[in-house]
Amino acid sequence: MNCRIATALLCVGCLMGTAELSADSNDLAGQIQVLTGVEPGAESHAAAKAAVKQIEQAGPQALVPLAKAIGQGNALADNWLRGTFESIAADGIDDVQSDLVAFFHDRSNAPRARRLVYETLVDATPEMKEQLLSSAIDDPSEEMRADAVNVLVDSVENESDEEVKRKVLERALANATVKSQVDAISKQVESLGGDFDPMSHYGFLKEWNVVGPFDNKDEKGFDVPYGPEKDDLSAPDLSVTFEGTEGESTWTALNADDKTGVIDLAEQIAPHKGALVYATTTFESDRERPVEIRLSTANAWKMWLNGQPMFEREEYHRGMQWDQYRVPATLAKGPNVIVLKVLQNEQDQSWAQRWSYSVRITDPTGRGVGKVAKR
Amino acid sequence: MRIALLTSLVLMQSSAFADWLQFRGTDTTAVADSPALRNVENDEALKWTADLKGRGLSAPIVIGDRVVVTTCSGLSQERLGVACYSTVDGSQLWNREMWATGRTVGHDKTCNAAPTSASDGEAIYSFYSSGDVSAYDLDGHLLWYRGLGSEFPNASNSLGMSSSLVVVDGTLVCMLESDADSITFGLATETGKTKWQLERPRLANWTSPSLLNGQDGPLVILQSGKGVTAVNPDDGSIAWTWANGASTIPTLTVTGADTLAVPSNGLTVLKPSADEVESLWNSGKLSPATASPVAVGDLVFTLNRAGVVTAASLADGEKIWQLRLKGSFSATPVAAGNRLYAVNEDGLLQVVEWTLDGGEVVSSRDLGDTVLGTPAISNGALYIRSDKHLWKLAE
Repeated sequence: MNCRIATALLCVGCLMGTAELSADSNDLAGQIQVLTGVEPGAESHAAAKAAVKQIEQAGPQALVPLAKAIGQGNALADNWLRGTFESIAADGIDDVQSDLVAFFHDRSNAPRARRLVYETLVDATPEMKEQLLSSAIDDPSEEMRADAVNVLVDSVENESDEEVKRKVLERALANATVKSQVDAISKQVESLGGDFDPMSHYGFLKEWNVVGPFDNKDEKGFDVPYGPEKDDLSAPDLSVTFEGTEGESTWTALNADDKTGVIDLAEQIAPHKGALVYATTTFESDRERPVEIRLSTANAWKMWLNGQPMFEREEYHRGMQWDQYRVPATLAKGPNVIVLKVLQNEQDQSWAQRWSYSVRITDPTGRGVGKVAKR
Repeated sequence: MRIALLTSLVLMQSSAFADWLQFRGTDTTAVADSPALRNVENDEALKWTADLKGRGLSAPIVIGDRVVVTTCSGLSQERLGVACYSTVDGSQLWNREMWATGRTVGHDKTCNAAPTSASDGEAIYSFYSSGDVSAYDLDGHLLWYRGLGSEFPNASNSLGMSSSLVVVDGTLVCMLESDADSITFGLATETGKTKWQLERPRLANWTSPSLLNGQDGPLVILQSGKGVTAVNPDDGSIAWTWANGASTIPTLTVTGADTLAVPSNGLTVLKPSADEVESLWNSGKLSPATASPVAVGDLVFTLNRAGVVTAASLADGEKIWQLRLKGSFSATPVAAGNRLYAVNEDGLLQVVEWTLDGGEVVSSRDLGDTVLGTPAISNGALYIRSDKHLWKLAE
């Protein structure tokens, strides 16, 4: 064969091969992008279903790209990615184990993706658990931290030196965000002479101004704007007096309970029925940042942040739970004004008398944020 | 006739009468098509025990040689599991998890994995209190996933939700009924796309849909505190409504005569027709508590707060016999032949054998674990789950 032609053919062959590889990896990336782009409402489901089948054919080579895509779309997309990841991983991960380990150790990857990878690695090789957990005490993943906290606490179970034990437990407590862990560890710390302040640990908002009551008879007050709701909710004027159901009402300072973070309106104001109040506080943030505003209440409520409506819920007396409502929000740098409308109805059952709430602010991984708010 | 018609609409590939494809069975009556074991006490009766992760109240469903349960785990029950086991030996065939996108809070007694899954024989559809819906094929490959709880965040309940799925004729019915937003959806089984959605009474609701033979095809029966509504599964149009109120916890049962035994003012039996819904009788003395009523032949059984089983005539509600069982019950009893299988909250399984003259407990077995979920029966075997275990009992 003519050398020049052979060389040309060889080059063409190389180019074709390169093109095929590019097409394959582009194709995988494209199919993963279909999953990342899933939106609510199922319009994209047919394409997503087809993408799942295509990605599965790529086998274990798709696992790291899938994991990397988690967190890039919405929560629905994350589940499409996860479901595909799991069905591929079920056939074995040996070929890509080292890549998955590297993925796990890269903390710039989405926390829940890293946790998924961690669990996959440990399922395949249980002996890896100790090594992977060894550096997780301050992990961005709340689940990883929780496991690492347990390991740290267990490590001093039989420690006889109380000073050593207390310091280790304090380190564990500083990184604990799961309430059951915090409760157990703080008790131990305090028994060893240490301190624990639930308000700052959990990020409870302590200092509020409250005005009311206004009318909520027959549960009709939910959508009725009273007093403060007619004014500027981004900056309530605390000097204004309103006409409520009990006559003139002015803003009154109330503090949340130091242990529970709860404002008990029935106790601290009066056990009004068929009534509502507005409560406001200002939270100073050192920077613009994503947070979760976590509210607990057995009452109906509405929330505004810096004058913007955040969420509302018209449900009465279905219990008051820890972190009952988690409202994603972005805090501005500087003061952030939170206004709540908290409504009590007229149920007369003994279990339907609670009129109270607690609010705490956490980062997206569950850590309480900053100092307590100022009025 | 009723059973054959409904199962033919639900199934695609499985053997028609052995499966238990949704809450209270393929036809949602809690009555199996074939007998099950009498003696649950023998060592040999316990065929296998499988370990489960996290928590779960959902009933097992059985598709051929697969038995499936849902679970929830994680720091706040945000990990939504679907676990598939072999009916032969209890080995785990596959396990998949999703992250909840809706609210996961609830009363301590219940959990996020309270609603029971459903299958059409080709896919497994699972639902959670958080409003998340998943579809996997029988080998655990993801078909689709939908986050109804995140799309409709106020369609939730701080006490938790537990309405199970029902699948019929290519439609998956999901109830998200609460004090705030209250919606029931008909999703296309192929893609999870919404075929229809109904605004429902704004009232917390823990009942589940049932299936009924209608004049022109199957109907999905929805129960709420306001009463009972029959819906065409294909397009969500309402066939009829009965608005005399009903319970929000125990679910009505469809009888062999296509009447409905509804937990309403005690128990009320309805006979729907083309022109009206007739109330045949009502008895305030038949009061199902948490467990739903069960109808077998000419009898209807209710289980009250005191653990008393009452057998009454379906014709007129006359009490025929009563039997006190041990313990409190959350799980609905299931029936096979002339036996009821009732498992109490302490995990004591009691087998009640009856005649028209009376019933007696002929065998019992302490499973040693809290059981709140309703059993399944398939091919003569009982499948019962707790948070931590799944058991198979058979002869």
